Amino acid sequence: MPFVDLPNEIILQIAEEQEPPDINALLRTNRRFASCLIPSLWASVFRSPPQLYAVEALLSAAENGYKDVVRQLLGKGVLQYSQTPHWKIMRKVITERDTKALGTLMECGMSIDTTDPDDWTLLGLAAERGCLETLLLLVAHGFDVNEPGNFRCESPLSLAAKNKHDEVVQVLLSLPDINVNSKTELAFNTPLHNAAKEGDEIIVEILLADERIDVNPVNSSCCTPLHIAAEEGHEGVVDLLLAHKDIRPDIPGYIGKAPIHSAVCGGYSLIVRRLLSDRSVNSLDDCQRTPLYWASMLGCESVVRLLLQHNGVKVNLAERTGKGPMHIAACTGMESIVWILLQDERVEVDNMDDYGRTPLWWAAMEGHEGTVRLLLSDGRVDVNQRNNHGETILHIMAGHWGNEAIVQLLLSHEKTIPDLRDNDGRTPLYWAVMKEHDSVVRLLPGDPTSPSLL
Amino acid sequence: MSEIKLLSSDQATITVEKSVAERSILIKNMLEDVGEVTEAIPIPNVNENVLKKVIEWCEHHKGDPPAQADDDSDSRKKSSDIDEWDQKFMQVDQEMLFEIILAANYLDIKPLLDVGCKTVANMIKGKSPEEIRKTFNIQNDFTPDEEEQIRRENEWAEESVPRSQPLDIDEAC
Repeated sequence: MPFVDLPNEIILQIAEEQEPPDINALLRTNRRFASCLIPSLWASVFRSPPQLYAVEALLSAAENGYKDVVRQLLGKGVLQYSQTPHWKIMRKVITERDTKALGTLMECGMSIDTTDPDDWTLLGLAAERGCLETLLLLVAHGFDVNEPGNFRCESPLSLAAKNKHDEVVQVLLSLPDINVNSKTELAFNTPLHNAAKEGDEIIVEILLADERIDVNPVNSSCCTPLHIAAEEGHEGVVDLLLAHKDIRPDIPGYIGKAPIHSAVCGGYSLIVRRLLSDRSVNSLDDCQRTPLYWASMLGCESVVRLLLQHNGVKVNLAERTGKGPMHIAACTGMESIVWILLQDERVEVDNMDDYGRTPLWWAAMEGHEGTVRLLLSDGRVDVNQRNNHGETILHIMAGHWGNEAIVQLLLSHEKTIPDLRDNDGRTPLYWAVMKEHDSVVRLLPGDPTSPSLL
Repeated sequence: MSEIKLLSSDQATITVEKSVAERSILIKNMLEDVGEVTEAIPIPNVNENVLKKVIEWCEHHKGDPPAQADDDSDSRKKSSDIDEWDQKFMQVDQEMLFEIILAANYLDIKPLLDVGCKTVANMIKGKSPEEIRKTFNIQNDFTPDEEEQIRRENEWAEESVPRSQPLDIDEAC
């Protein structure tokens, strides 16, 4: 009496004692057991712990298009039995299974509409994952293609654009009711913002080709897609945007920065070149900072050179507190920029800002010795310039700062007058003595004990 | 204490206590139908060896409470829960094991049929299809394509968590 001679009813009884893995192993041994045991395998789901097989069995049956099995499982309450939240099941259907699974479940009357705890909708998930067929099936079933796809209110189009699913974007745009310029909550980003941020030229091109597109939408940070592409260094996208008939390249964005500011701040000289115009070259942000000012502050040599090459550039334009590009380069100790600016005869090297400070003052006060040396080497810089209190930079360095190295640099300059008196009649030596900077006192000419100091 | 006689398929007559023989619902119903019988009752599907084994089991279990009709999942015993005596009783060769199962099925002795099926289920537990083929000498008649398809379709049923250790009983068989 071999095993294979046992009648089917006995084989079925043996299967009654088994859980899915063992029934599966047995039915995979040969054809007869397969045809006899497959119903037992589905039924065994309900004999196993709920979380183990119920959902996977249902989804596999659905994916294989076994409608009878799906109906049977649903009829026996597999959803309740699985003890799995409905949204988790649907998330699996969308993200892990072929579209056929969703189709079968719908045909078998399973309710599919759900949102997860983060308000992700099925359409949102499908768009994010780029599941085109699934998305079309949902749309065909009446799901609203403009409904926010998640808690950030990203529309399916926005999600597809963000995740570089160009085919999905293309198909969504072909739908008559699609909102091409949908905005997310809080950030107010449109699909075009998203595509620009990702630097996805294909999707940007697809979006721009749509007549309904707003090419200059502003998000909650006041940025347009052009700002974002410029800031992220996406040259190709910048080109595409600039080629659009409705583009406005000078819209003030975050803190009033124009797209050219964004490109400067990112250090992308090729993009700066594209955005450069007679108008943009001197555009001002909310603090009246020009592109040249920003480039000088950030030490971006190539951009500084590029901007200086432009005929219309105003090289001395000062920001709100009176500092020009030379001030800020000196202040931040960007020696290479200071050097480039010194080579340009249009640049004024000795301007005072609203605090009465010249670039030399700023470099000294910030302790940038190299910058101080560079500035002193230029004949146009007045080393004895006084502020509102009649103090020279030597007064400040010798007295308040006690910076030995910079005092030495200043004294080594042939034009420096070391004993000028401020409005109160005090010399640098007086201040050095008063502040007890002994090393500086020794550097300065004159007798520190002389009563004439006072 | 009344006794009855059973006639095996190979013409052996076995005398057995009536209450023991009535563990078989088939015999019980037959006796109820015909009343007193003196001649041996033919059991045409079961040979002497197997019939003796079956009677041995019935004798051991004659005092068992009758099985509850259709008891449901909760009280249902897991396949691993076979009592010790039954485990020893089932330590026979495959041939005999399957004969006992068939006999239990024919004679309608539900608890014995259950123990038999559980024993076979335990022999299968944790084995791969190939291992099962070897154990039971099953011919693989799938084409490679069919085999792959059925594997893929039933992937969900594959082992997802480590289970308890397989029982020793299948080693004995």
